[in-house]
Amino acid sequence: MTRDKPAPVNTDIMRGLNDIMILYLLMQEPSYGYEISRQIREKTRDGYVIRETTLYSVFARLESAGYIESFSGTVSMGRPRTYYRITDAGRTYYRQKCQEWQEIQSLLLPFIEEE
Amino acid sequence: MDTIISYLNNLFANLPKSERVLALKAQMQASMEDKYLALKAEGRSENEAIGSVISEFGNIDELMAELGLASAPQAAPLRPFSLQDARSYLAAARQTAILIGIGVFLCLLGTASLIWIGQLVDNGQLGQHLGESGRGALAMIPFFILIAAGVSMFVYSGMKLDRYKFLETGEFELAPAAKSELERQREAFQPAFGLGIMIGVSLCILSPLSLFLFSLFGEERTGFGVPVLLIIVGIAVFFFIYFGTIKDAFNKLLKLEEYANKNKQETDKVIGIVAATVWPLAAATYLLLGFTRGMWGTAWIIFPILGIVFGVFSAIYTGIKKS
Repeated sequence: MTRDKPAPVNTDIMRGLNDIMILYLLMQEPSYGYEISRQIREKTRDGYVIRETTLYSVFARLESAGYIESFSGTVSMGRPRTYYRITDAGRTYYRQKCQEWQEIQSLLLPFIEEE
Repeated sequence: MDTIISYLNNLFANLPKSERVLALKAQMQASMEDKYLALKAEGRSENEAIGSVISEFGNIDELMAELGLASAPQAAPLRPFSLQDARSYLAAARQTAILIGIGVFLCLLGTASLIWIGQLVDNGQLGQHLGESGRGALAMIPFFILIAAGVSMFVYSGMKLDRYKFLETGEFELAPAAKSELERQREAFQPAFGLGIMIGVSLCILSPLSLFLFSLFGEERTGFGVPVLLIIVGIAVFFFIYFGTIKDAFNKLLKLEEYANKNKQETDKVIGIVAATVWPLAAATYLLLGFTRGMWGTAWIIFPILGIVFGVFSAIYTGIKKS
């Protein structure tokens, strides 16, 4: 367990990539706050723990941009919970972001040197 | 879990309570709750789980920037308070200390005069040519005039200090030069304060002696001891109020003692407040018993008893405060 360890990846870099991660997860299925942060942690093998405020900032931003929308649902415990699902505009934006990232990656690759 | 909720409440306390903000807050709370329950299910201790959840919370400014909200309102800059300001405040405090002290003294003097004149009338030394109601009024007139004068002094001094109200809450920044000067002055004032309170307490304790002194001159004179007792108590209360108010002014400026923390309590004025409540009440009781039961000659026992009780109270109270 590495829950209490600081994230090994620079969070400044990660911040710009939050959109991609969250939109990707919402493309699989509609989801809610804790579930998304849990999946991010799992997929990065505890490499990145998204902060509560970061997560909800992204939700707020993507929702006002019309890339995701919220709806209320319930979970087994019967507690009301706010779910998010991706919109068509969100899918387009996601693809655009992925492309951007691939370009950045290929541009940057010649400059990356492993020790 | 309560820790997490109150943590969140604190962070959101300064944010506008718009629907959007509240909805986000509720979602964040649910999410933190999920995380907390998951950690507990993993076998983490209460403290570990809460610590983890809070450490992964992040920075509220990030969310506020996203929502287009200004960052939490900065604590308003503290109002500057110069040495000049401090001097005029102290001067005003000294003046009101005298005024309030005299005001309380006048209230007690009013009661004293009421009893004294009442005794004279009863003994047939005064108001012989007046009717029954005229004799009653004779005692009441100076009483009400003195009480009115005392009360108007309270009101006037209250108005005078009104513009210094912000000092109570400590929302001011004392200039460094003023601070050292005031500390020096406060230090110099301490012995006078101690002496003043000591004199006041001694007077309270000794005040019942006046009763015995008057009773030496004959049974029918005992009643005259009560007004004298009241006047002595009045002088004692003046000492408490005068020195107490000035010390209070220093403490306010330097944010000491009861002003050291924000949730300050008005403790220093307690003796004055108790005196200003208890003695007029005793006077009212005396009047009531006198007018309804005609107990003018016996009900005065209220005053010496109260004098002793009050003296003991002030002595103990001051003792406790000092330690």
